[in-house]
Amino acid sequence: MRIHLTSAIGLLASVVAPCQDGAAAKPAEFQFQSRSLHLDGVSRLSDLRGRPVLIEFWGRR
Amino acid sequence: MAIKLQEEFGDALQVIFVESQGHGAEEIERYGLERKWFGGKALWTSERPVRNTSSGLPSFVLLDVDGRPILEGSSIRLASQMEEAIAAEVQKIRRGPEDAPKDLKDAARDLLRGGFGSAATEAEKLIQKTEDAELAAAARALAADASGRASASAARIGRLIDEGSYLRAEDLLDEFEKAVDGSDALEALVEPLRDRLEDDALEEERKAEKALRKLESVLFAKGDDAVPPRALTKLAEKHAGTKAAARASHLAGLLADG
Repeated sequence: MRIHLTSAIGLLASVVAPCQDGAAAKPAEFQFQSRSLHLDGVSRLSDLRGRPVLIEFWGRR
Repeated sequence: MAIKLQEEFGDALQVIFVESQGHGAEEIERYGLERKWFGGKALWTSERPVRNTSSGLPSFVLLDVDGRPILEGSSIRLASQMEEAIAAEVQKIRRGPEDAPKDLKDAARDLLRGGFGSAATEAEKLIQKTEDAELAAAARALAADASGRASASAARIGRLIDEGSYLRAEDLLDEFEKAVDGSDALEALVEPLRDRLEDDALEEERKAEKALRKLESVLFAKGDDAVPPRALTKLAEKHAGTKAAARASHLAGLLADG
Protein backbone atom coordinates (compact mmCIF):
# COMPACT_ATOMS: atom_id res chain seq x y z
CA MET A 1 0.00 0.00 0.00
CA ARG A 2 2.82 2.34 0.95
CA ILE A 3 4.54 1.53 -2.33
CA HIS A 4 1.35 2.26 -4.26
CA LEU A 5 0.86 5.55 -2.45
CA THR A 6 4.46 6.57 -3.14
CA SER A 7 4.02 5.70 -6.82
CA ALA A 8 0.82 7.70 -6.98
CA ILE A 9 2.50 10.75 -5.45
CA GLY A 10 5.43 10.34 -7.83
CA LEU A 11 3.08 10.15 -10.83
CA LEU A 12 1.16 13.19 -9.66
CA ALA A 13 4.38 15.15 -9.25
CA SER A 14 5.38 14.33 -12.82
CA VAL A 15 2.00 15.52 -14.12
CA VAL A 16 1.38 18.61 -11.99
CA ALA A 17 4.37 20.80 -11.49
CA PRO A 18 3.64 24.29 -10.24
CA CYS A 19 6.87 26.22 -10.64
CA GLN A 20 8.64 28.12 -7.89
CA ASP A 21 6.73 30.83 -6.11
CA GLY A 22 6.17 33.56 -8.71
CA ALA A 23 7.90 36.25 -6.67
CA ALA A 24 10.99 34.11 -6.17
CA ALA A 25 11.39 32.65 -9.67
CA LYS A 26 13.62 34.56 -12.06
CA PRO A 27 12.22 35.75 -15.41
CA ALA A 28 13.18 33.28 -18.13
CA GLU A 29 15.67 34.69 -20.64
CA PHE A 30 16.46 33.32 -24.07
CA GLN A 31 17.79 34.66 -27.35
CA PHE A 32 16.32 32.99 -30.42
CA GLN A 33 18.54 32.20 -33.39
CA SER A 34 17.68 32.87 -37.01
CA ARG A 35 16.89 29.20 -37.68
CA SER A 36 13.52 29.56 -35.93
CA LEU A 37 10.46 28.96 -38.11
CA HIS A 38 8.16 31.88 -37.41
CA LEU A 39 8.89 34.36 -34.64
CA ASP A 40 7.07 37.47 -35.90
CA GLY A 41 10.12 39.67 -35.25
CA VAL A 42 10.61 38.41 -31.69
CA SER A 43 14.28 38.03 -30.88
CA ARG A 44 14.31 37.35 -27.14
CA LEU A 45 11.81 35.79 -24.78
CA SER A 46 11.87 39.05 -22.79
CA ASP A 47 10.42 40.87 -25.85
CA LEU A 48 7.12 39.25 -24.85
CA ARG A 49 6.97 40.60 -21.29
CA GLY A 50 3.65 42.21 -20.43
CA ARG A 51 1.44 39.21 -21.21
CA PRO A 52 1.47 35.55 -20.22
CA VAL A 53 3.45 33.27 -22.52
CA LEU A 54 2.43 29.66 -23.04
CA ILE A 55 5.33 27.57 -24.32
CA GLU A 56 3.94 24.37 -25.80
CA PHE A 57 6.34 21.51 -26.55
CA TRP A 58 4.94 19.25 -29.24
CA GLY A 59 5.88 16.39 -31.50
CA ARG A 60 4.40 14.47 -34.40
CA ARG A 61 2.31 11.50 -33.42
CA MET B 1 -5.59 23.04 -27.43
CA ALA B 2 -2.89 25.75 -27.42
CA ILE B 3 -4.00 26.99 -30.85
CA LYS B 4 -7.54 27.38 -29.46
CA LEU B 5 -6.18 29.22 -26.40
CA GLN B 6 -4.29 31.62 -28.67
CA GLU B 7 -7.51 32.32 -30.58
CA GLU B 8 -9.56 32.62 -27.40
CA PHE B 9 -7.23 35.02 -25.58
CA GLY B 10 -5.98 36.87 -28.69
CA ASP B 11 -3.27 39.45 -28.01
CA ALA B 12 -3.63 38.97 -24.24
CA LEU B 13 -1.65 35.71 -24.56
CA GLN B 14 1.39 34.65 -26.56
CA VAL B 15 1.68 30.99 -27.48
CA ILE B 16 5.04 29.62 -28.65
CA PHE B 17 5.04 26.15 -30.21
CA VAL B 18 8.33 24.32 -29.79
CA GLU B 19 8.86 21.29 -32.03
CA SER B 20 10.61 18.84 -29.74
CA GLN B 21 11.46 15.78 -31.81
CA GLY B 22 14.25 17.25 -33.89
CA HIS B 23 12.51 17.27 -37.29
CA GLY B 24 13.90 19.62 -39.92
CA ALA B 25 12.36 23.05 -40.49
CA GLU B 26 10.86 22.14 -43.89
CA GLU B 27 9.31 18.97 -42.54
CA ILE B 28 7.71 20.90 -39.68
CA GLU B 29 6.42 23.58 -42.06
CA ARG B 30 4.93 20.99 -44.41
CA TYR B 31 3.30 19.19 -41.48
CA GLY B 32 1.85 22.44 -40.09
CA LEU B 33 0.54 23.54 -43.51
CA GLU B 34 -1.24 20.22 -43.98
CA ARG B 35 -3.02 20.71 -40.66
CA LYS B 36 -3.81 24.43 -41.20
CA TRP B 37 -1.87 25.37 -38.08
CA PHE B 38 -0.22 28.51 -39.44
CA GLY B 39 -1.48 32.02 -40.06
CA GLY B 40 -2.54 32.78 -36.47
CA LYS B 41 -0.79 34.78 -33.77
CA ALA B 42 1.21 31.85 -32.37
CA LEU B 43 4.99 31.67 -32.81
CA TRP B 44 6.76 28.54 -34.08
CA THR B 45 10.27 27.38 -33.33
CA SER B 46 12.38 24.30 -32.79
CA GLU B 47 14.55 26.08 -30.19
CA ARG B 48 13.74 25.44 -26.55
CA PRO B 49 13.45 28.84 -24.86
CA VAL B 50 12.99 27.35 -21.37
CA ARG B 51 13.89 24.07 -19.67
CA ASN B 52 11.04 21.60 -19.83
CA THR B 53 11.10 19.07 -17.02
CA SER B 54 8.05 17.09 -18.19
CA SER B 55 8.82 13.78 -19.84
CA GLY B 56 5.95 13.38 -22.34
CA LEU B 57 4.53 15.41 -25.21
CA PRO B 58 2.64 17.63 -25.49
CA SER B 59 3.78 19.49 -22.41
CA PHE B 60 4.03 23.15 -21.50
CA VAL B 61 5.65 25.84 -19.40
CA LEU B 62 3.54 28.92 -18.60
CA LEU B 63 5.30 32.23 -17.95
CA ASP B 64 3.60 35.06 -16.06
CA VAL B 65 3.42 38.64 -17.36
CA ASP B 66 6.95 39.28 -16.09
CA GLY B 67 8.37 36.19 -17.80
CA ARG B 68 8.61 34.02 -14.68
CA PRO B 69 7.65 30.33 -14.98
CA ILE B 70 4.52 29.67 -12.90
CA LEU B 71 3.16 26.30 -14.06
CA GLU B 72 4.37 23.39 -16.12
CA GLY B 73 3.38 19.84 -16.91
CA SER B 74 1.36 17.74 -19.33
CA SER B 75 -0.77 19.85 -21.70
CA ILE B 76 -3.42 17.13 -21.75
CA ARG B 77 -3.69 16.30 -18.06
CA LEU B 78 -3.30 19.92 -16.92
CA ALA B 79 -5.46 21.51 -19.63
CA SER B 80 -7.97 23.10 -17.26
CA GLN B 81 -5.33 24.31 -14.75
CA MET B 82 -3.39 25.81 -17.64
CA GLU B 83 -6.41 27.72 -18.90
CA GLU B 84 -7.28 28.93 -15.39
CA ALA B 85 -3.71 30.13 -14.81
CA ILE B 86 -3.72 32.03 -18.12
CA ALA B 87 -7.08 33.62 -17.28
CA ALA B 88 -5.69 34.65 -13.86
CA GLU B 89 -2.68 36.32 -15.51
CA VAL B 90 -4.93 38.17 -17.95
CA GLN B 91 -7.08 39.30 -15.00
CA LYS B 92 -3.92 40.54 -13.27
CA ILE B 93 -3.35 42.90 -16.20
CA ARG B 94 -6.95 44.17 -16.01
CA ARG B 95 -6.87 44.61 -12.23
CA GLY B 96 -3.56 46.42 -12.20
CA PRO B 97 -0.58 45.98 -9.87
CA GLU B 98 -1.30 45.08 -6.27
CA ASP B 99 2.15 45.46 -4.77
CA ALA B 100 3.24 48.81 -6.25
CA PRO B 101 3.71 51.77 -3.85
CA LYS B 102 0.59 53.96 -3.69
CA ASP B 103 2.23 56.93 -5.46
CA LEU B 104 3.50 54.68 -8.23
CA LYS B 105 0.34 52.67 -8.73
CA ASP B 106 -0.95 54.59 -11.78
CA ALA B 107 2.40 54.32 -13.54
CA ALA B 108 2.68 50.62 -12.71
CA ARG B 109 -0.86 50.01 -13.98
CA ASP B 110 -0.11 51.86 -17.22
CA LEU B 111 3.05 49.81 -17.72
CA LEU B 112 1.20 46.56 -17.07
CA ARG B 113 -1.33 47.54 -19.73
CA GLY B 114 1.37 48.42 -22.24
CA GLY B 115 1.24 52.20 -21.84
CA PHE B 116 5.00 52.77 -21.97
CA GLY B 117 4.79 56.52 -22.58
CA SER B 118 2.40 57.40 -19.76
CA ALA B 119 4.16 55.01 -17.35
CA ALA B 120 7.56 56.56 -18.04
CA THR B 121 6.22 60.12 -17.76
CA GLU B 122 4.36 59.43 -14.49
CA ALA B 123 7.46 57.79 -13.01
CA GLU B 124 9.72 60.65 -14.09
CA LYS B 125 7.36 63.21 -12.53
CA LEU B 126 7.52 61.28 -9.27
CA ILE B 127 11.33 61.15 -9.35
CA GLN B 128 11.37 64.98 -9.57
CA LYS B 129 8.75 65.44 -6.85
CA THR B 130 9.50 62.92 -4.13
CA GLU B 131 11.99 63.21 -1.30
CA ASP B 132 11.55 59.54 -0.44
CA ALA B 133 14.73 57.83 -1.71
CA GLU B 134 13.13 54.38 -1.80
CA LEU B 135 10.16 55.63 -3.80
CA ALA B 136 12.45 57.51 -6.19
CA ALA B 137 14.48 54.32 -6.75
CA ALA B 138 11.28 52.37 -7.49
CA ALA B 139 10.16 55.11 -9.91
CA ARG B 140 13.55 55.07 -11.66
CA ALA B 141 13.33 51.28 -12.05
CA LEU B 142 9.82 51.57 -13.49
CA ALA B 143 10.84 54.33 -15.93
CA ALA B 144 13.80 52.21 -17.05
CA ASP B 145 11.54 49.19 -17.47
CA ALA B 146 9.06 51.21 -19.59
CA SER B 147 11.90 52.53 -21.72
CA GLY B 148 13.42 49.06 -22.12
CA ARG B 149 10.12 47.53 -23.18
CA ALA B 150 9.50 50.34 -25.66
CA SER B 151 12.98 49.86 -27.16
CA ALA B 152 12.38 46.11 -27.45
CA SER B 153 9.07 46.77 -29.25
CA ALA B 154 10.74 49.23 -31.63
CA ALA B 155 13.52 46.71 -32.34
CA ARG B 156 10.94 44.02 -33.09
CA ILE B 157 9.21 46.27 -35.62
CA GLY B 158 12.60 47.01 -37.18
CA ARG B 159 13.27 43.29 -37.56
CA LEU B 160 9.88 42.77 -39.21
CA ILE B 161 10.78 45.47 -41.76
CA ASP B 162 14.15 43.77 -42.34
CA GLU B 163 12.36 40.46 -42.94
CA GLY B 164 9.90 42.00 -45.42
CA SER B 165 6.84 41.71 -43.15
CA TYR B 166 5.71 45.27 -43.84
CA LEU B 167 1.99 44.80 -43.19
CA ARG B 168 2.63 43.24 -39.80
CA ALA B 169 5.23 45.93 -39.01
CA GLU B 170 2.68 48.61 -39.90
CA ASP B 171 0.06 47.10 -37.55
CA LEU B 172 2.56 46.86 -34.69
CA LEU B 173 3.83 50.39 -35.34
CA ASP B 174 0.28 51.80 -35.09
CA GLU B 175 -0.10 50.05 -31.72
CA PHE B 176 3.37 51.20 -30.67
CA GLU B 177 2.57 54.82 -31.48
CA LYS B 178 -0.33 54.68 -29.03
CA ALA B 179 1.77 52.84 -26.44
CA VAL B 180 4.49 55.53 -26.31
CA ASP B 181 2.07 58.47 -26.34
CA GLY B 182 2.90 60.95 -23.58
CA SER B 183 6.68 60.58 -23.55
CA ASP B 184 8.72 62.72 -25.96
CA ALA B 185 11.73 60.44 -25.62
CA LEU B 186 9.77 57.29 -26.46
CA GLU B 187 7.64 58.96 -29.15
CA ALA B 188 10.92 59.72 -30.95
CA LEU B 189 11.28 55.99 -31.64
CA VAL B 190 8.25 56.05 -33.96
CA GLU B 191 9.36 58.37 -36.75
CA PRO B 192 12.45 56.47 -37.98
CA LEU B 193 10.36 53.30 -38.24
CA ARG B 194 7.55 55.14 -40.04
CA ASP B 195 10.13 56.62 -42.44
CA ARG B 196 11.50 53.16 -43.20
CA LEU B 197 8.02 51.77 -43.87
CA GLU B 198 7.04 54.68 -46.12
CA ASP B 199 10.25 54.63 -48.12
CA ASP B 200 9.41 54.72 -51.87
CA ALA B 201 12.17 52.19 -52.48
CA LEU B 202 9.97 49.56 -50.83
CA GLU B 203 7.09 50.00 -53.28
CA GLU B 204 7.82 46.81 -55.26
CA GLU B 205 8.51 44.84 -52.05
CA ARG B 206 5.19 45.92 -50.61
CA LYS B 207 3.24 45.06 -53.76
CA ALA B 208 4.82 41.61 -53.73
CA GLU B 209 4.01 41.14 -50.06
CA LYS B 210 0.34 42.04 -50.61
CA ALA B 211 0.09 39.52 -53.47
CA LEU B 212 1.75 36.82 -51.37
CA ARG B 213 -0.45 37.61 -48.37
CA LYS B 214 -3.55 36.81 -50.47
CA LEU B 215 -2.21 33.38 -51.43
CA GLU B 216 -0.96 32.69 -47.90
CA SER B 217 -4.32 33.50 -46.35
CA VAL B 218 -5.97 30.88 -48.61
CA LEU B 219 -3.18 28.39 -47.93
CA PHE B 220 -3.34 28.82 -44.15
CA ALA B 221 -7.14 28.73 -44.00
CA LYS B 222 -7.88 25.96 -46.51
CA GLY B 223 -4.76 23.81 -46.37
CA ASP B 224 -1.96 22.81 -48.71
CA ASP B 225 -4.25 21.61 -51.52
CA ALA B 226 -5.92 25.02 -51.88
CA VAL B 227 -3.01 26.81 -53.57
CA PRO B 228 -1.22 25.21 -56.53
CA PRO B 229 2.59 25.53 -56.32
CA ARG B 230 2.47 27.08 -59.82
CA ALA B 231 0.57 30.12 -58.44
CA LEU B 232 3.40 30.73 -55.99
CA THR B 233 6.07 30.20 -58.64
CA LYS B 234 4.33 32.71 -60.91
CA LEU B 235 4.23 35.24 -58.08
CA ALA B 236 7.94 34.68 -57.46
CA GLU B 237 8.70 35.26 -61.15
CA LYS B 238 6.53 38.39 -61.37
CA HIS B 239 8.13 39.96 -58.28
CA ALA B 240 11.62 38.51 -58.74
CA GLY B 241 14.25 39.85 -56.35
CA THR B 242 11.83 40.70 -53.54
CA LYS B 243 11.66 39.06 -50.12
CA ALA B 244 8.10 37.95 -50.87
CA ALA B 245 9.34 36.22 -54.03
CA ALA B 246 11.89 34.26 -52.00
CA ARG B 247 9.18 33.24 -49.55
CA ALA B 248 6.81 32.29 -52.39
CA SER B 249 9.50 30.09 -53.97
CA HIS B 250 10.12 28.45 -50.61
CA LEU B 251 6.40 27.71 -50.15
CA ALA B 252 6.10 26.43 -53.73
CA GLY B 253 8.95 24.00 -53.01
CA LEU B 254 7.24 22.79 -49.83
CA LEU B 255 3.92 22.23 -51.61
CA ALA B 256 5.52 20.52 -54.60
CA ASP B 257 7.42 18.10 -52.35
CA GLY B 258 4.44 17.45 -50.09
